[in-house]
Amino acid sequence: MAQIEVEHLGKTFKVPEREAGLVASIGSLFRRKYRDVRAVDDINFTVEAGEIVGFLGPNGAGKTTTLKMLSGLLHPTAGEARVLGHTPWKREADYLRRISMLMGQRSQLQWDLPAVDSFYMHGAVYDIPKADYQQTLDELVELLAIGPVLKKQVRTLSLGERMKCEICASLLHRPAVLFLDEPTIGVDVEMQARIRSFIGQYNRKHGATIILTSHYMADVTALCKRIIVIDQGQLLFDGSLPALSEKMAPFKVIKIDLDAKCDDYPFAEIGEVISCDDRKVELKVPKAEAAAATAKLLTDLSVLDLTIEDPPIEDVIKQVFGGRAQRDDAETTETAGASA
Amino acid sequence: MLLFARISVQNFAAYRADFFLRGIMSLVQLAAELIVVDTIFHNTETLAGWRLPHMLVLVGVYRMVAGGIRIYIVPNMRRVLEDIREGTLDFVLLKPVNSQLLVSIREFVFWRITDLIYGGTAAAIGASMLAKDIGATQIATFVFMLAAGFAIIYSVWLALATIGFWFIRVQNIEMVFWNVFEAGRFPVMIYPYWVQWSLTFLVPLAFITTFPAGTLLADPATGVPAAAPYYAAGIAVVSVLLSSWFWRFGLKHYSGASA
Repeated sequence: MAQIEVEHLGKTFKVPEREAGLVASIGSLFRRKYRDVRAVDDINFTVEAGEIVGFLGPNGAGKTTTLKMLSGLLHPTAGEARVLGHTPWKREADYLRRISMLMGQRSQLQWDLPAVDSFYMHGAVYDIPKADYQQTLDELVELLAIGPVLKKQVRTLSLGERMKCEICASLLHRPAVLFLDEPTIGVDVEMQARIRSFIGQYNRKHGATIILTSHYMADVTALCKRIIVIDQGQLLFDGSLPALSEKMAPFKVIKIDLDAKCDDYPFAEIGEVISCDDRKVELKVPKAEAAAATAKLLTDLSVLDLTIEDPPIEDVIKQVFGGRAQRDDAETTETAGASA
Repeated sequence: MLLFARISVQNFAAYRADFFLRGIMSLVQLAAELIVVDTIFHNTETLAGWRLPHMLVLVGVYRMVAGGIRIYIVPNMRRVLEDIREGTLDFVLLKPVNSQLLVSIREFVFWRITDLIYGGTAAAIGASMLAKDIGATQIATFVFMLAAGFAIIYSVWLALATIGFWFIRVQNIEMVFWNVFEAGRFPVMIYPYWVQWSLTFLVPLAFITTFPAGTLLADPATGVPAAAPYYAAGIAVVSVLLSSWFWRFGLKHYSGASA
C-alpha cells in the first residue's frame, strides 16, 4: 500500500525584490515588488511502505521544501499529499507521532545539557510509555554506539557524535515514516558509512519508509533502490539507479591498459578523453558506439586490459544539472534562490 | 510544563554565581521605583485619589507582574521570534503537541522569582498600612484579576511574536513593550482621558496593574470600577481566543529559514 502519495504538489514563495541602489531601497519601503519563486512545481510520486527513496538535486532544487511539506511544516500553495492516510500540514498529533524529520544542519538537542536529558524530554513530549522508552533508547544507544557520550553536554560533542544523538532523538518514538534531510552532512567518511549502515538497518528491522536527501552520492547509492531527481522544483526522474544512468547518461566509460605508450594515437576521434596517463586511458563514448569503439581500439592497439563501465553516478548527476545550468544561462532565466 | 521548568533550572544551575547578584539587581530596581513614589508623596497627599499605601500596593503589583512577564512570557516569546528567524521553529511544529502550548512553556527564567517576592512584600506592606482589613473575597478577586491580567499580557505577547511570521526583524518590539508597560507603574487615572481610554481598551494595561491593585484595596477613592473583574474576565477570554486564532493563522505563513 502506498504510504506517501503526492499529487500535483506545489509551493510558491513570494520573494521581495528590489533594484540595487539607495533610491530603490527607499522606494521598496513603500512599494515592495514581489517575485514568485516556484520552489516546488507540480510534483507527483508515491512511495510504498518500507521503501527508501533518495531525493537528488542541486541546492535550491526544492528537495527540502518538499520534505517540509510532507512533514507538515509548510502549507503547499497547490496540490495534495497524503502520508500514512493523513494530510501532513493539518499536523494532527496522530500523524506527527508516527513520523520524524531529521535536519542535518539543525540541532534539536538542548545545547547546554547532556543528550540524555533531551531524549528524556522527547519521550515526555511524545508521551512514550516508560518501558518502551527505555527499551528503544537502549537499543538505539547500542546500535549507534553512543553510550559513552550520553552524559556529556551536547555542546562538547563532535559533529559526528552529535549527529548520532540527533538520529537517536528522532527515532525514539519509532516513526513509521522518516524524512532525512542531509543526515550525513559535515561528518567524516567513516562516520557517514556508519550512519548509512544504521539507517539501512533501521529500515530493515522496522520496515520504516524513508525519504532521504543527501549531497553525498555514496549515501544514495548505498541505501536507495529508487531515486527521485528534482531540479528547479520539477521532477526530472523517478526510478532505479541503473535506469537513471541509462536515461540521464547515454554513454559508457571505456578503460584500457596498453602495453606500450601511445601518445600519438587519436583517442579523441573515438570518444571524449577523460584521462590519459602514460599507459592507462579512459574514454567516454556514446552508448550506441561503445561496441564499435571497442573493436577499433582492440584492432589498432595492443591492449592488455579493457573494461566498459557505466559512468559513476556523480558524473551522471553532474551532467544532468550541469547541462541544465548551461541551458539556463543561455535563456537567462532567473534561478530559484528561495528556500531549498 | 514542570519538565521544562526543571530543564531551565538545570540550565540555570550552570550559572549559579549570577543568582545573588541578580537578586540584588532586582532589589535595586524596586528601591528606585519606591523612591519615585516617596518623592511624589512628599509633594502631595493623593495622586488621583491614590494615597501612599495604595501606591505601595500598586508598585508591588507592578513589580510582581513585571517579574511574572520576565519569568515566563517574554523569554518564551523571545525564543519564538528567534526560532522563526532561524527556522528552528520546525522542531516545535514537528512535535505531536499543540504548538502554541509548547512555545509558551519552554523557557523559565528562574532567578526572576525574586521580583515576585519583593513585589509581594511591597504590596503586603502597603496593604498593612491601610486602616481596614482585607477580606478573603478581596484577596481571591485580586488573585483572579492578576490571573486575568497575565492572560491578557500573554495574548498581547503571543500576537507580537506571531507578527514575526511576516516581519522577521521585530526584536525592538520588546523595548517598545517595556516602554509602554512603564505607564503601569502609576494608576491610569492620573493620565489624560484619552490616554486612560487607550490604556483600558486599546492596550489594556489598566487591567494588568491598576485594576488588580484597586480590587485588593477596594477603596472607591482609587476610582477603580467595582465591575472591573467582569470586564477583566471578558477581555481576558477575548484576547486569549483572538491571539490563539492569530497564531494559527500565522503558522500558515511560516516559511522556515532556508536550509
